[in-house]
Amino acid sequence: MSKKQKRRSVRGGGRRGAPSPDAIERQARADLDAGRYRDAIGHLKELLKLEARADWQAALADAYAGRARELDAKGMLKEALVMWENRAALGVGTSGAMVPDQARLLLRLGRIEPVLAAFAADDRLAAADRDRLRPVLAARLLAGDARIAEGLPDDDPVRRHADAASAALGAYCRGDDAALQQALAAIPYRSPYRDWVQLLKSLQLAPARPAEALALLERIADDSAFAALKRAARLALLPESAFLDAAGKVGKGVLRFACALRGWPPERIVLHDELAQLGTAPNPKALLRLLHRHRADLGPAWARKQSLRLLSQEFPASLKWLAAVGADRTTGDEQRLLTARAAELDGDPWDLHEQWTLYARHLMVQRGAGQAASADDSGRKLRIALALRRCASSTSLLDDEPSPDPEDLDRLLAAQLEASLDWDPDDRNTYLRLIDYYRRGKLLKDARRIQDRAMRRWPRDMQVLGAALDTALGAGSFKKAAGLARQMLEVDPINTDVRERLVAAHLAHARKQVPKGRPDLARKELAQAAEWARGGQAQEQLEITAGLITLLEDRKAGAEALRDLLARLGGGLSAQLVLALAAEGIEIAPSKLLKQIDAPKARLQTQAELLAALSRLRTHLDRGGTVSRDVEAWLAPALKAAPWSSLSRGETETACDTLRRCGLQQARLRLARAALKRWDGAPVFELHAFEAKYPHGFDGRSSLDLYKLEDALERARDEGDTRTAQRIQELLRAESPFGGLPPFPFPSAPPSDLDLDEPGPAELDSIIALIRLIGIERAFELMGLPPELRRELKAMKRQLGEQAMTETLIEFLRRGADFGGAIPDLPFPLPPERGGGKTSRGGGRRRADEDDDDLDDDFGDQLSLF
Amino acid sequence: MRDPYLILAIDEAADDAAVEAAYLQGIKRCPPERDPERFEALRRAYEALRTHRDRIAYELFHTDPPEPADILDKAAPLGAPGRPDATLFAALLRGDP
Repeated sequence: MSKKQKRRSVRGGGRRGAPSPDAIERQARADLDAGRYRDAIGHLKELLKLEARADWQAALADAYAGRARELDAKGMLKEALVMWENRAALGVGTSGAMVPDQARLLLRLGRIEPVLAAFAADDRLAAADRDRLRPVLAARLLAGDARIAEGLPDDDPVRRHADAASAALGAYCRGDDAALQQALAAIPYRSPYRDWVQLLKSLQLAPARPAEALALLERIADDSAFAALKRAARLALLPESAFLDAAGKVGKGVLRFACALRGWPPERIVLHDELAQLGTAPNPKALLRLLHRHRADLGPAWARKQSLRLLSQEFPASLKWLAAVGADRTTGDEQRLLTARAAELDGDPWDLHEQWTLYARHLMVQRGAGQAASADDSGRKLRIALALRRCASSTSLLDDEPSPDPEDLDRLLAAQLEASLDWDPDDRNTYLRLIDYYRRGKLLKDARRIQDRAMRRWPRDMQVLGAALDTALGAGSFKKAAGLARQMLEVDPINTDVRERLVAAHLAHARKQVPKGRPDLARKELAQAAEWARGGQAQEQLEITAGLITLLEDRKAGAEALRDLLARLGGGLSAQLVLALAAEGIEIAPSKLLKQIDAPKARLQTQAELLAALSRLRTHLDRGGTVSRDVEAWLAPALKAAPWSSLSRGETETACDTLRRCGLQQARLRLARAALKRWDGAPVFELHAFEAKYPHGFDGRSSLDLYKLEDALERARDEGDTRTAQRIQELLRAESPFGGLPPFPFPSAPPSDLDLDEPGPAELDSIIALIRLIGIERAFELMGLPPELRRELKAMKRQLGEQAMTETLIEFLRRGADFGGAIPDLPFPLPPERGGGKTSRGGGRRRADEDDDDLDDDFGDQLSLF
Repeated sequence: MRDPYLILAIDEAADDAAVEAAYLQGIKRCPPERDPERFEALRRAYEALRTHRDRIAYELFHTDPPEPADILDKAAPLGAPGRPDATLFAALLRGDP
């Protein structure tokens, strides 16, 4: 019995206010057009009760057909069939005519007889509809339904081509490709089995030529009678990961077919179903249970290793999962390994260092306990070495300059890395990393120690020789560097980079001899450099150095040679700059040199001259050169009068950068300010202006500069200039009280008109009570602190946590009151972070517990700064 | 990351030569133009296991949970691509779900 409530009708007034037939018809046709078949059926039935009009009956037939298709698409096959039957009962059009969709549905439901009867009666199906239905009958016949063949005439193509289609299936399943080809060739193109032919051809090609197989499948329409097979074949052709993703979204039949094509054994399908039940992101405990249940198939050792990996995320709480699923408890070895792995998740480099060191020590003890001679000793030693290296390899602490304090974490890691070489002396990368690290910090003795070990092991290795060459050049040992470069060229004679470095080393060595009063040795070096010099720039450097040596021996001849060279180089300021930079190497001031050779006073008058001079400076810097104060002083007037406004924006940016690299901060500041006049507020020039104004870090001179920089950051972000935004962000971070740079005065002190000073004790108590009551942020908001300062305080709060921040602030306010009632400008001093200064390096400095006690001692000092 | 031992179809005792041989065999079977995903997986697996040091580092430091595909490959390895039997064809031709 239907549970639907019948609509109540008002006695005697049922017809009152009812819509007219015209209105109902309009509504019915609107519903029909809009695909609201259910409503259309209701309205049309109502109309037909009034009058059995043919057009209304036709409309109802259409509504039934639409609703039937709707239900069919939803998989409500029986309900759809009822709709078709209702439609047929209307007797609209050709008596008993069958729509192909209805026939298709009947076949899907296994009701073949009505379809065959319609096929037999000439007037019940149009010819085109018959053609559309034939592939459905063909598929059904291939599925083994013999009634189809019996119900169709002998000459119907479904029957005529059935034998060949069936033979093709048999041949494919047997793996008889020749017979398959033969059978498929017997099926004509215009056959109901056309899609079947494409499918079998595709399946035959699939294992070896998947792309061609896929192309053949694409020829089969998605509503074909063979579409389910097409879907299965396509699924089988997916890459493994995509296949596993899609497997959960298809029917069982399609999946089994695809699995058979991919070579999945039945037990794999069962296990896949089991895994699928765990969802796309399985709960680790559920996965652990599954691993334990299938440990015999998975291999106990493999299952155990994977189980331990599952414990990592929630260790040590996860340890009890093992007992819960009935697995063995963890051994001591396993626990130590899990503890070290868990330290990686915490992200504290000190813990990471400690835990892997403990693990390495544990392995050392085990090895020492009589197991050194075991077959796997090399593996054990490698394990120790890798555990010792882990913290260094998973952090970037050694990518920066070494800390001065040998107790800092980076120095400890470097020592540990070096110790790891005793256990695994064949890891070249560790030697190179250490050499690089020590060289960066000018710890050349340490670098050489590692380098010597590496060179004994790999005397002809280009990377090791290259690292040694860098160390020698860094130490100013040009003779040694030249020797190393020569060794490298023996290994790789066409290495132009090494060749250039060899020439540079000889030239540097030659220059070194000049101030020592040994021009003979300098000329010898030049001769050696000449052997290797190739290209214009190397020759130019040789000539300049030779000219400079001559100048010292014979002033007239030398001056003439250098003047000649100057003329060949163009004679302008850029040519003089080349000489000036080279003269630095032999300790001759540029102004003195140019006076000695009677060079005219040059200026940067044109854009071309300016660009040429900047290019010379860049080349010099790229070769590792620096710009001395003498050169700076000589260059300054020319730069001041240079035609900077003739440069484009890109050229100006490059020029600012070149001046930054040279350390010419005054010129850079002038250029950046001039650029800001042309490109108002351009973030990159704000950055250059700020950096040039405060080359040694922000000193609190003008908080306006800091505000401008903050604005530039926002603007860079808005403009999508991520590089500049990142540089400004790094600069602001470095200038913040957390960045390790000068803690006082703080960058963005509140404006001077902010009335925070000298509240009485009662006011102070009120402020403290307010902070406790509504929290720091809200309190500062009410106190009217500027947004920049509030932002900073917010950042501090994030760093310290609200509680610690509140307590520190309150304590500071109270102490401020004790110091004569003056409340210092905010921000206030903060407890030092763990690891001290280098926050950007993962806190790799001194441990927090060593510093915490210093807060009180520093307090008075910090206050006195206000 | 998939278990590189399973990707290369080698056991955990494999030495450098065995790892390299498995890799070369794998990329011969699955060149990048035919199966780029498999090729990439083979390359990653080879890089993870190339040397004894790499293999031990993988054992010590790899903490990703196993992928379903690893569990399937380990417990019930794939066979050669097969041909479905007539019953499976019939089921889909009939329109069985």
